[in-house]
Amino acid sequence: MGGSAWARAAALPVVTAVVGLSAAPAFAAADPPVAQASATAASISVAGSGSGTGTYAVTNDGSGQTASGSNEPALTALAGQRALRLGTLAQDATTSVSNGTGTAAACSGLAGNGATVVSVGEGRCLTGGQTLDLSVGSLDFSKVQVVQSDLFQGMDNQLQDLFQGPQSALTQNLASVLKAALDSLGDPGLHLDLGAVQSQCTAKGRTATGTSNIADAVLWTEIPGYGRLDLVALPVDPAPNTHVVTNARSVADKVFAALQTQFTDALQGAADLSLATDQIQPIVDEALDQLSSQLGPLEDNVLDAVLNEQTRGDGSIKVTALDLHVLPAAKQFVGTDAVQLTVGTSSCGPNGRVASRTVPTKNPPAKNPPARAPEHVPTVVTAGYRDASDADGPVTPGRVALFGLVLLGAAGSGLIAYRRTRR
Amino acid sequence: MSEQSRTGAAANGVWTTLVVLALALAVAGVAWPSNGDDADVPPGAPLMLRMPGAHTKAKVVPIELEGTSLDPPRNYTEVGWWRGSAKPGADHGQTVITGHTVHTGGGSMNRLDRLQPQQEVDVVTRLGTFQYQVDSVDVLSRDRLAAQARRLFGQGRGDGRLVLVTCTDWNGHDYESNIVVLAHRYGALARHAKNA
Repeated sequence: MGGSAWARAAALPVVTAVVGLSAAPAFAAADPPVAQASATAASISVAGSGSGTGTYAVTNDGSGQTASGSNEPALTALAGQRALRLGTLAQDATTSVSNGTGTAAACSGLAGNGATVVSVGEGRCLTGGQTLDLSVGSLDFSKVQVVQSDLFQGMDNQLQDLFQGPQSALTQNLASVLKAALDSLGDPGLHLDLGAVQSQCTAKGRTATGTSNIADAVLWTEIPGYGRLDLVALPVDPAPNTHVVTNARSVADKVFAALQTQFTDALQGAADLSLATDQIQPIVDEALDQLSSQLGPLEDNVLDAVLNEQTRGDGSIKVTALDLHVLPAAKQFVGTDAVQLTVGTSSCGPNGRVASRTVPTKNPPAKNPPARAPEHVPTVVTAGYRDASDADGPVTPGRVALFGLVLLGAAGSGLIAYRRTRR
Repeated sequence: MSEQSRTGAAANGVWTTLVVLALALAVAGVAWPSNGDDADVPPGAPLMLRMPGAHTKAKVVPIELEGTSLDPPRNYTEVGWWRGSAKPGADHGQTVITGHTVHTGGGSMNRLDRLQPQQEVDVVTRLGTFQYQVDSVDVLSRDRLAAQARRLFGQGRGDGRLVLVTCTDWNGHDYESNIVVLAHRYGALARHAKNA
């Protein structure tokens, strides 16, 4: 063997190591971490401008876990809003690696004041606590107003137009009375009570699961003169991707009823109008008919909510306990997009495996046609002996040596015999 | 120098040459760089079975099915490849290899139960070495083995995995169970590459 051959032999492992090291980052970039998870307690946005608790994320490369963000979110993180002032937030995530397989877990959510944060991986993040009252109608983000008094904005002008035709003293007084009644309605308000809203997920290997829990959650409105009206009670353990549909017609009906009462009371109390009862009803009906188009959006979109929203990938899952869009039709009132409130977003996976240098796990690609299968298969395998005497033994070196000795002895004997013969 | 002395010196020289040459060939055989690579290795009849996890290496010889009974070679240090099963390297079917357990020791598969999942098993053919990774090591009673024969030995299924079988549970007169090792193929090395 020449020197070049020796050089090649020596160079082979070096080249292999260099190529392996240079290729390693490329493979690492293509593969997911051994385990990864993230959690976001809450975020809220209005017209694309929002705030939130941020995301706590962890990854595990097989040798240890690294984290980013905070797993101790504070309510002050939800800046610029007055809807949520008391309560407990939770967002936490963790990973582990066992036998080369990654496991990830996360949970997140919020609950009323007094709730207790428990460790991730034990199921729910939050226990106990008082019920929160998210007064969505009181949101105050920069210059944005949602519903509030704008709901009835412009209606008074419609009423003025309705009764100004004849320009009589009666109709002008009528319009003034109805406008005063409209103004007294004020803000109907829209409220969301929340006991605890949270999601959790786990991903082990390539299997990911997730759930959400929503406790004591009711969306309600308050109409002056009528009090509280529960619009929808959210289910405690909603099925994945439960779309909440409010009985929006009831909201509009209640507003209509309130207007009717207010108008009727105002007209009956207006002594200078001197209207008989049977004269009042047609006026109220005509006024409400004129206002019906103004209240139309209430029937269309009071609330658009998805509970336990789950998005699945290959070995991963993202669970959002509550994704709430409040009054998308608000744009028609205040010229901005809807409010979005997202509570309890937990993501787990996808996970990879700890890389094995010696034993890859996948089979090489198919390349040969199948052979014809035999008709019978073994049902008995008699692969045992009591001792070596039951079978043929191996051709061992000892046997070879023994045979050699015998042969040598035979040859020696023959040589001695030959010499004796020659004497 | 007499004729006899010259003959002796010549013989001595020949022997010295042969010894040096043998040593040189032995060294070359170990250190010579391989011409093989990880490219396709065609399926082939197995010649050698290596189980590092069981500290076992055994010659493989083809065996036939007798009825529905599969008997390893009588030489208990060898193992038998069922000729009706897939050749190592095939993409379909299952490669079935069996060897004897000898109660008093020395059988080719006496240590089969020492294999553990994820350990490597190699099967050498004329053109290369197929590498397998152990997936499971199970002890099955003879009845259970018979019940699962199609799954374990059927050739209409499988993707070329390796099935190793021997006997266990010696009761003083007979073996009551079989050890079955299943392993999937993960690589192949062309001839000589394994030793490079």
